[in-house]
Amino acid sequence: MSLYDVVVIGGGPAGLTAALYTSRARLKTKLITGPTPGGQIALTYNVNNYPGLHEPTTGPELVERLITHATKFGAELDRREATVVDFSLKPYKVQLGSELIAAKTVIVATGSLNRKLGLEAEDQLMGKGVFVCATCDAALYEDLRVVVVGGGDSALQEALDLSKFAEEVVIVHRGDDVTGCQCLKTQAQENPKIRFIFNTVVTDIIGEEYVEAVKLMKTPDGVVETFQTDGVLVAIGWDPNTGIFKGQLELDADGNIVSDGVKTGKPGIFVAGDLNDRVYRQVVTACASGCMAAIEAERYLTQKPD
Amino acid sequence: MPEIKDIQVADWETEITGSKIPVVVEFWHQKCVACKEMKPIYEALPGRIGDRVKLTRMNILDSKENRRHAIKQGVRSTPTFLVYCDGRPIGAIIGIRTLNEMDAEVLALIGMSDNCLLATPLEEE
Ligand SMILES: Cc1cc2nc3c(=O)[nH]c(=O)nc-3n(C[C@H](O)[C@H](O)[C@H](O)COP(=O)(O)OP(=O)(O)OC[C@H]3O[C@@H](n4cnc5c(N)ncnc54)[C@H](O)[C@@H]3O)c2cc1C
Repeated sequence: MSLYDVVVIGGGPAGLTAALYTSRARLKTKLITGPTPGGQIALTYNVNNYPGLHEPTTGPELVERLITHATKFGAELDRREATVVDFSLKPYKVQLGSELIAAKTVIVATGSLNRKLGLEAEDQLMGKGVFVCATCDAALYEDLRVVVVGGGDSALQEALDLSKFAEEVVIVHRGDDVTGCQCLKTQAQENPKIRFIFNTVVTDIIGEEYVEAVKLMKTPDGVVETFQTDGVLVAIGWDPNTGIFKGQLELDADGNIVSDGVKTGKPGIFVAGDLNDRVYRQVVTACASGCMAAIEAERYLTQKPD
Repeated sequence: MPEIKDIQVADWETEITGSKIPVVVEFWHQKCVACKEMKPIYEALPGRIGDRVKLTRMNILDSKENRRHAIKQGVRSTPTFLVYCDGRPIGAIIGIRTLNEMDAEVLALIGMSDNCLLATPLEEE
């Protein structure tokens, strides 16, 4: 069984930064990313607020730079998924496909998962009109109508990205106003292709082969109407990606890992990134906490090398 | 050595409808991360099954005509690999696959389709 000084689980900005720091500190580092390294930022058109990147930079371009930088100092990037962890005894164990690896320290940076509406049709029509990433699929909705479900930053951002192609983008939100930041809100309100339907929930998605319509229910009166649409993008928030850590790390009622800064209750196990951040959720904050977790791992190994 | 042919809508008649053997068309674009993931995998296919299937790709960001065409073919997500026999679509592979999964799925789609059995060149004795 291979033994690593540091195993980083998660290949978004937080994990990539953590691996950059630990490998540069000459710690033997395994970076487990799953099949598509880069995390959520890989799904956005333009990143306009990462310090120093003032020229137009796409999410995928930033991801490529982060991956090159993270592996430059010898971190081993592994595109398998960590499926099981055992943090009961040291060294800690992480299962990767049929291989089991051992770790003196672990940095958990698995980010979050998009929350679903929980409708059967959502899974059936995924990739056939239901989608989660405007950057990836907006061009396929050129001159068509798309419903964006949600009212936060990501719903607004996705709607703006979609409006470059779609004929009409309809933001459906259960509240009576969007909750996203003022700058995105103003841009969306001023965009002639975007309109809002408030106090409304999506109760079903209709379509045989492809999405054809959604059922919209007004609140509080419960009136339901069928609303024609070619696509549905769901952006209603996220849940921390902590399923594999149940029983291994202390989780709170929302599934967040209980931590003090980047330190968990288990010695040598650290958290970084959006996974444990319900407030800021930016590339720069994810990178920053990846750096903090890496420095803590390095300190831990210096004090307790076994 | 067979390789992947980059096509535009204008090439459809010659490359897909008029093809004597089955054709795979990848609908992709440069901002799609999953397409980037699939690039080396798809580019390894000609060396493995290029004698039985023609492998092509269409960038949907190249032109409005390409996008329109992709939408008309039912593409709603990238990458989508559509398999055609005698100009008719016989199946789709949507999203990421390993190299082994990819050529097994393409060959299975071709094997299952009557159109394709006719279109695939007979193996020489
Ligand atoms: C549409 C959109 C636009 C955005 N735009 C901006 C912006 O312009 N500027 C900005 O600063 N921020 C933006 N953000 C937010 C930013 O993307 C996130 O804050 C950042 O990506 C968080 O990084 P992370 O590393 O914590 O987690 P993530 O990016 O979520 O990455 C976690 C990674 O871990 C992987 N993973 C999970 N479980 C496992 C496992 N068991 N084994 C292996 N790997 C696993 C996941 O697949 C994922 O790749 C945007 C987000 C979205 C969705």
